[in-house]
Amino acid sequence: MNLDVRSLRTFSRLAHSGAEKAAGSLTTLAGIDTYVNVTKVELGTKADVENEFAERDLVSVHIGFSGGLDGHTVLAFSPESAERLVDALMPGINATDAEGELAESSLKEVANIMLGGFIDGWADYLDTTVDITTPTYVDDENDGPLDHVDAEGFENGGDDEHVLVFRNQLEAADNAIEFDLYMVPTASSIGTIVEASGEDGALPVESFAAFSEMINDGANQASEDITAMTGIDTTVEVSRLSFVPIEGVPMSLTDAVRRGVVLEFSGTPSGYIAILFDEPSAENIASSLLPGMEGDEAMRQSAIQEIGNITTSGFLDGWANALETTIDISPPKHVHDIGSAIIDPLATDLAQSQEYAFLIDSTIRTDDDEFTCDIYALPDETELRKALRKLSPAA
Amino acid sequence: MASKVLVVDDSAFMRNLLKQLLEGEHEVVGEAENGVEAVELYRELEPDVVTMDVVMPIRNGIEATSEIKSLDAGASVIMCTSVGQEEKMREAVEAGADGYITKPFQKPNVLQAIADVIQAEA
Amino acid sequence: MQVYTTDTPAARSGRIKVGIADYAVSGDESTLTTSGLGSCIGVALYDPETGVSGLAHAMLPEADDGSEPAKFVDTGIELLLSEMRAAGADIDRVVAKIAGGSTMFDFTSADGDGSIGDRNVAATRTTLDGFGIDVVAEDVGGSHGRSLELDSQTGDLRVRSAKSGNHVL
Repeated sequence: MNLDVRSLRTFSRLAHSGAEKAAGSLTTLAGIDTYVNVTKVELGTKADVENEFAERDLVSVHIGFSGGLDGHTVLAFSPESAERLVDALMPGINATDAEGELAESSLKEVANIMLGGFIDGWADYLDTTVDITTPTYVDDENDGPLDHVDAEGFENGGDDEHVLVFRNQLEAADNAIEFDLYMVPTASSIGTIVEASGEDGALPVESFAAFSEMINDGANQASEDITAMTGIDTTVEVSRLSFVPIEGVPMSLTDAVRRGVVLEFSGTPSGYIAILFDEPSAENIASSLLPGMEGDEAMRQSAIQEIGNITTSGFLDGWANALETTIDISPPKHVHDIGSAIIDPLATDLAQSQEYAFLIDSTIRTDDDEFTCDIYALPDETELRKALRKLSPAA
Repeated sequence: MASKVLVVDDSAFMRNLLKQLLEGEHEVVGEAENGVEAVELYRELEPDVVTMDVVMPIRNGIEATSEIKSLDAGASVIMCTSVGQEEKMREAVEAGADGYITKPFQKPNVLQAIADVIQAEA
Repeated sequence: MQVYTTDTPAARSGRIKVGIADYAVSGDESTLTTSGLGSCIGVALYDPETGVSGLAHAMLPEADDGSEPAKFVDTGIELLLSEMRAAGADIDRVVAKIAGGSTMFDFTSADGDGSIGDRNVAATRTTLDGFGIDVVAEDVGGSHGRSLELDSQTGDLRVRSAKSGNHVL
């Protein structure tokens, strides 16, 4: 199977308009303003998707679809967001008391309405009909939140096999409720949609998968480097490649204040990278690098810059090796600002020549939540395509 | 004039919402969770109007609508569903549905749909 | 068979979120918000007589043919004004407050024309001037990010930044 940028754009547009419709449904149903922040077409392994659910203790409602398209849709909330949503739907009803069943029923119906609306647009685009199943509620107390998905949806093979995930980040009630709407089509259904939109200059899906593994390796190397520097064990929580409308890149961050570094890289590909910490994380990491030097702000800034530098190298060196090229990295620039505003100039610079971006984002964290480090890399689209071509099996 | 309504939906939340919405306007005489129950309750209660979900376990709303219509050609059935695909609407027409409301519904739409099917019958 | 579809609802909470490459108009007492302005520019327009107001969040100065209009300063402002006119605003009364357009990094790609932030500010002034709209207050440039809230009732524009806190334009 091949994938090209044109079909990715079609995917992205269909998913975004479906998500807009789903958001409008929730606004009507619950009377709370709901917005789609960003629609991403993500390529990752099934294990990545499962990990994220487990790490975030997500409560989710699953609906399968079949017919003209086959696959799985999921509406996933943090437990707090689920509780707030139930409260908006049925004020005064506590999700944990005897009426828990009604709370569960309301979340299932929200998912039914939102996911049903989401799927409609795809069916109409492909001039086909898609049947949906009744919703299944899955909470984090069940063993393995994705057991159900294993059984019914993600039948694309073993853990290392790659899946294309359409992920829409939504928020409602002034950021109080945040949730994700996922759609995971089966491999053959992806083929169906690709065929419908044409595959001009397409790249085999294996080269995307190879790149996605390169990103995983880079994130793991960065995590090892951070551990070596700080002496604190870290793991890669998530690492993924996604295809996003360029304006969606900054919108995938909130306006919480972040601290970290921004760097430019040049070569094949060139682009921008940002290594960002939330404020408590930045404090903790600076303290672990500079024990007993709490007061020295200039030194702390330098420590953050250095960890950004090292993390970036760890992240990108593997790419250069795999692509048999060199990637040069600019000196790190220290930033301490609104998260989305930090990423905005990077996306805007690329927006001069591209409408969509390949966004790479990884999260590295310590087991005890001492700090979390987010890596965002934005390669130039044309150059990334060149790099992907190098990774294709035929090359 | 108040009509007798049978509400069919597998979601307890949605049945609740419809009951609240119809309160004071129409009388909800029964609730069914699936297509099989819907047909049984239709026989038993002889409602004026049925609001019918489409995606339900055991028997879906399209099948239940066909069956109700074969029992009583004069039955008034309004589909009430989150699925808005054109092909699905054609299936509903074939099954004999009299109206089609997409969820999330708004109160005026539901009341209008009930008024329309009742008037068509009169 | 009659089909009854749901109308797209208007905002309920009185807060309308404007995304990036996006704009919104309010004819009532809503607050229009947008966040994460780096080099992007926020253009707040207000008709004091009718209270019709609008907020745009544009990424780049000038549109090419066939590009998404809300992404650009020139076409974004034009679009916003036509929607405000439709909502009852009189363009002759409309005033502007602008914020954003900072230069946070010195990228190697920046050419002789200046940073994208500076070019966004310049394009905003030119476009507004073309419509005869005065800029009555501004907080532009610098090297920091901003988030905005436009109170449609008063035309107050609250600017939040990580470094200098909140202030009202």
